[in-house]
Amino acid sequence: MDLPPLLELRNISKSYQEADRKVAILDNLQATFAAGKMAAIIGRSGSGKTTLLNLISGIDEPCSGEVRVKGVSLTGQTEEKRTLFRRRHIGFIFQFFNLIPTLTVEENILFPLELNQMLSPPNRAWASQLIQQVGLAGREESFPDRLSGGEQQRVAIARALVHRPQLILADEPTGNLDQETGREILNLMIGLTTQLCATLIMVTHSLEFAERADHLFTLRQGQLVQAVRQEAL
Amino acid sequence: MTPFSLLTKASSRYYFHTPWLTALALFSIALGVAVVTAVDLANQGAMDSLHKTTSALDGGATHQLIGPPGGMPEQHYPTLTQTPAVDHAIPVVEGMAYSPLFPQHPFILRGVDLLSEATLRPHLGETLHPDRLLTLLTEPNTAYLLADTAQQLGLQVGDRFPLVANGQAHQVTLAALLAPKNPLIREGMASFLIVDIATAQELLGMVGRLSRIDLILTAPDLPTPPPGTRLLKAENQQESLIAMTRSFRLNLTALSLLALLVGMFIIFNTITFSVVRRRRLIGLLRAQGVTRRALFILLLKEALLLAIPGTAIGLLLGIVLGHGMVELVTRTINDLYFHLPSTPLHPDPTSLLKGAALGIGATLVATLPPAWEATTISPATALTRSSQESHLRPQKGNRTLWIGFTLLALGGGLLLLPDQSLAYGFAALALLIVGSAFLAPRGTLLLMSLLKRPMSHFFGLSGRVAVGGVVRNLSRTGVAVAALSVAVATALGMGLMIHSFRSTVEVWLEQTLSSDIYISLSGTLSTSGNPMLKPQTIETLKTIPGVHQVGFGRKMVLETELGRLKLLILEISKARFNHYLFQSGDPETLWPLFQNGQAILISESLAFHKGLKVGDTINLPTPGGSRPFTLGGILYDYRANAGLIIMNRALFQHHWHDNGVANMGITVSEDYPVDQVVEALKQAVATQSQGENLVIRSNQKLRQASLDIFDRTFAITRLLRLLGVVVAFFGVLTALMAIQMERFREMAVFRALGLTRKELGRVVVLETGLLGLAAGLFAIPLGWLQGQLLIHVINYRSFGWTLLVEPDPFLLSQSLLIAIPTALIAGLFPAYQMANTSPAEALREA
Amino acid sequence: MTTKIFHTFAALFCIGSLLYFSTATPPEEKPNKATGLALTHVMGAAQQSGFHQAIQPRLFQFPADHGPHPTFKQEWWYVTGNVSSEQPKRDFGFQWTLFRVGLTATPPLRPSAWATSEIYMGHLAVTDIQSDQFYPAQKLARPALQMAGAQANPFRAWIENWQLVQKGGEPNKPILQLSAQTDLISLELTLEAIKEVVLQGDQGLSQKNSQPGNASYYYSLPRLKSTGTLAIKGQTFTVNGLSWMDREWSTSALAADQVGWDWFSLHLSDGSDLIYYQIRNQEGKADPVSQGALIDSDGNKRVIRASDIQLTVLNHWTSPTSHSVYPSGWKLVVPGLNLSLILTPAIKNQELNQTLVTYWEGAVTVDGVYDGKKIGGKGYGELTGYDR
Repeated sequence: MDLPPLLELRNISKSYQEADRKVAILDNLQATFAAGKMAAIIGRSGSGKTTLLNLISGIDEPCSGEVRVKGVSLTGQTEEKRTLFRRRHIGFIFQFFNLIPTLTVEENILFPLELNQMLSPPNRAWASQLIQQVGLAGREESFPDRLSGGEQQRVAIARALVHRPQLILADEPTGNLDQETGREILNLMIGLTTQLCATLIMVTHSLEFAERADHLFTLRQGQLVQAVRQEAL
Repeated sequence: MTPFSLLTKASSRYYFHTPWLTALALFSIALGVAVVTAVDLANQGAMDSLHKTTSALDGGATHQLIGPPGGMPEQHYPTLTQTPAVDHAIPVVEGMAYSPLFPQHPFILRGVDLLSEATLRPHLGETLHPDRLLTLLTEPNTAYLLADTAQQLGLQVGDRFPLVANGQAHQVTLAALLAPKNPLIREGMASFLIVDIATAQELLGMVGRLSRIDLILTAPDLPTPPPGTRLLKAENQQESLIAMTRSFRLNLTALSLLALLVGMFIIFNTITFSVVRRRRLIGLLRAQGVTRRALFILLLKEALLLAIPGTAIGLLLGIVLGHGMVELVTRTINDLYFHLPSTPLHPDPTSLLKGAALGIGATLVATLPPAWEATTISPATALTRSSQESHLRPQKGNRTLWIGFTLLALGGGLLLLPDQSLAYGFAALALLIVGSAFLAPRGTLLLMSLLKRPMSHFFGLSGRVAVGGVVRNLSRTGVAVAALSVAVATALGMGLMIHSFRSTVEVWLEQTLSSDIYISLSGTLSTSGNPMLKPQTIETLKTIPGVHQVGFGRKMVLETELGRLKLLILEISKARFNHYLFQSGDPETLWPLFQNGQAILISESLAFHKGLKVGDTINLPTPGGSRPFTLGGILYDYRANAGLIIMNRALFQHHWHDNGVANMGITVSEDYPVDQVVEALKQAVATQSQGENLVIRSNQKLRQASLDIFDRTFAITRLLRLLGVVVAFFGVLTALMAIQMERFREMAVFRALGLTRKELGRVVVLETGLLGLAAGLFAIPLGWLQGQLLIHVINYRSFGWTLLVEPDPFLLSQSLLIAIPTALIAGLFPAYQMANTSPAEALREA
Repeated sequence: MTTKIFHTFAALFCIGSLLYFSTATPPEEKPNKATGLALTHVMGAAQQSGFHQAIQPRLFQFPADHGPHPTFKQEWWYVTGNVSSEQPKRDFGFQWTLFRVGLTATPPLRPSAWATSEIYMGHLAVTDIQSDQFYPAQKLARPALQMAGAQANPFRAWIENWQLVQKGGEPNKPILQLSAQTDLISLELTLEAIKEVVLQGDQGLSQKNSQPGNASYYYSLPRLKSTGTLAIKGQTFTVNGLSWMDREWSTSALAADQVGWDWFSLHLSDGSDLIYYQIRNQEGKADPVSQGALIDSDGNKRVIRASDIQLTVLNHWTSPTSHSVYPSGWKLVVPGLNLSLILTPAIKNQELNQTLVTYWEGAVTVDGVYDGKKIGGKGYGELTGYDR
């Protein structure tokens, strides 16, 4: 039996004005994501995957339709409310890591706790544990520019999970890494997400994750289509 | 299209993509250049005016024979024309005059012998109608004016107007208008009222006497100048006037260079920033095979592209500013040194070239460190994001600290040198400023560690993030804090100096002006033709009820072996004498010596400039030849920088055989109100008037008038200070905006991680506010130091004035009042812009 | 030589250029130097009022008339001559002139000594013939503080250190001392009259045109034996030769249509002296009142009228400085005297152009035939009204 859906996307449309023509990215898109599950979204470059993640996180707003998280509609909320919601409930992992260059490894990881005023000793301990888990013990004081791509992504994973969000959005987290490193990162993400019972939505080209995900979607012509594994491959 | 032009494009497009920053950088360069250029132009303009006035009417002469105060016997002139060494001689009778109709336009009444002038300079300009010429020669009280001046005053040929000269009212007829073709000469003549030499003698009360004789000598010298006269080489004469104002002008130039120094900090900051921001691009270029050398040149070329339009705008701005400033400079010279007519400004090409060279040079110099830094970027590190911060903090901080302390020590050492030169003073000032600037980054760190807790307490998350931002962006924030504190400190230091100076003058006036009422002849500046109070007038005024005690004074200009000095002749009571502020000499023991004519007093500035001390003797030209006088005391005096000698009236009379006095100081009996006595005196003068124009002022009014003059004198310094603040403001705006714009992506990540717009805006504003606070705090000691240097070193070495009043320490808080609001304003724009940009957009550009 | 009035007035105009000044006078007031019309306009202007005019012949008295005549508007003392040195063999011409100009006939009483109703102007020039050099100079002064002036007894006329003073001889046949110095030239000459005073025109009344009063009183000392020293740029020459002195005073002279004159004074080798001045109108024609005289070696005078003489210009010279075109070389024929002379400028350029007014005044050499015999001589010529 399934838990109620954590995330519902209802009739989402999104288009951009480019020069003098309108480019529709998402067209009346419908989807639901169950809590505690992992979903992989695949699709060609430019099919709107990053846009979709931005809409889910509230960074961007749809032209029409509704994003509902835990039964609450994010659409129509003020930007401020959406931001606060994101701060608390969403963790973000980017293809290009996007660590804050002026913060050390530890500071980057503590940052979401600070944002959520959760810098309590147990949480700090949890953060240290996370650093251990992502294999960066001893590198706490390093700045991001001293880390390899894989290490940076580990920091990003820790940062995305440190405040125990219910929804983790990952945008091609292994896209910028070699296969071996990519696999390690993927294992780490899956392991930690499972540990936290969080929902993971990952935009990816990785076959491995596509195989391991609970659900597989294809973003094609503005629609999200539940895909059979075979089909995706 | 060559690859090189593509390279240029690749890097320079940056400036088009950040138009705001580019514009502000341009503006910083422009402002720095503008201030320097304007001051240089104004100085140049004032000196031009000096050249013009002296050469418009004195040009061609090799020497000048200067008469004693009141003039030399006119018989010297025919004697000189018969002297073999004299090729040409031109007699001049000159004095000041004014018309009650045009109180704002005092005239230099110049009596010329058209005939001897014509022989010297026959074929220049156009002709004068003979009827007009004859009028001037044959009719008394006829005068010429420059056509422009006449138009300005609304006078036409044939008009009669009142003229006060030698304290007497006359009616003068305008006989002709002069319109020389040469515009420089036109300007030089603007304040001249030209009359025949006979008319000048009659109007100025100098019948039988000449002010001076301009000479063309065939020999290098006159064997024996007539007694009581001094022979000056024409160029020396002008040279000495120019030298007199040299310190003053150097002072202005140095203050303007201070503005440029601030400008350089801003440029340095801009370029550093542009390099830091393009590390990735630079790395890419290096990876593509662009050599270090090519990269270095590329960055210098870019700086040049920024410098050229910036400098051009600066020059234009400088010309505009200079127009206003020349008036102020001229006025100051007028008040401090000698009469100088104000003339409109002609942008001197050398000044403009200097400004251009400085602007471009300063930009390039400020570019060198960041450009060098850029070439050390290896392609690999550049390709990763942010590679600056991790190697920025510890050792580098120590190195800057050492450099800073070394510079400070050097500056301090310079001050201790026995050589009291002004140049060393300014060099020391510059070293102290730059040295302190090096300390700014470390100081910022220290301050932030102190503020971490309170900021977190008061502003929560935003406060913590802001403090962290300042610390972590030290590579950029350090420079910005340094630039801002230097700018604010400069403004502060100058403010302290002005304040101390004005308070000193106030105290001094209080002491020196100890009579209750002062009476003087109006419209009379002390040149050679010195108008005197009539003895019967003095007698009348003495008898007015309420007049208790009377003192007398007279001022004149003396050409001495020490240059042109002001001579003040006094007959005063012991009580008033005791009121004077003595730098050396004890009034009790000095009084009898002064009274008996055994000692004279000199001003501190004269003693300083000429290295004189109590007990020295100086030779002064008297009608009976050069005579030695003993210096009994040195007085604090702030009325003239040209140097002042004070002499007892009896002593003067003994040597000069001249009993005249030009002003009176009256002590009022205790039971009479001062205002009532002033009224009584005015009425007595009105009924008894013999054509004399007397100004009767209470102590209060005279003090106010003197302070007004002081304020006028310092208007230029105030303006420079204001400009310093403006430069600082825009510099900080640029620096802080640059810092924030550079963190655009970082801020977008913050937003993605869940920082709200409001919080982000607050972070930005708090950060710049913290920078402002840091700069404002550092500016306090630095400004105090600058103020002390300006007061005790620069000012003293420039003018020889000791300032007796220390500035009000409360003024120091001004630095925070300047720095913090500036910084907050600087934060508003980036805060607004960042808060209103979708993080999606910012994150896109990976 | 009446018409030297021009100099004085032109000088007055140009004094205006002193100090680089100029007037902002309305156009109609602007002096027009080019045509000379304005000069004559000024001469007819109000400043004449109160001055006497030369209307009828008068009795000349010496030494009184060597001195100034302040009731007349203008006056001058004019010496020109040719002198030579033996060692080295060099020839020189010289000019020494003092002008007096009355500014007003009714001066107000004023305290300043500089207040003046007169102006004095001196012109000085030396022609170094072998070196082809010309050295002009000028002085202006008011007669205040003894800086310039003239007096009759003992006779003295001076402006600063240029002076002409009597040191002996008879009142009408004086011995004079002439001295002048500038930074370049210096003159120290004794001028001893060989012939007595000669009155020009009609008993000394020299008519300038048909208008009564447009005339001057005019006498000459035609032949002065001249000895002394002349120095140029520090090199001193011991010289001797002959000089001519003119004295003239008047209030008005030229008419509106008269523009200038050509004037010659010649010392001929047979001991006779010839003077001729020709006043030109705007068309360049000689006025019928043009006149001259031949004074024989005994001092007897024979008047030469315009109708007696043929003066032909042989050459022209253009000044490189003023671009004025002057006649340069003449043929002078007096058929009635059987006299035919060729006059040649000693050097071409003897134009006074550093002075307030530009004119040509220079030494000339004379060759010709007089009464069938070859004759030579030296003299001076003056050409005015050519400047443009």
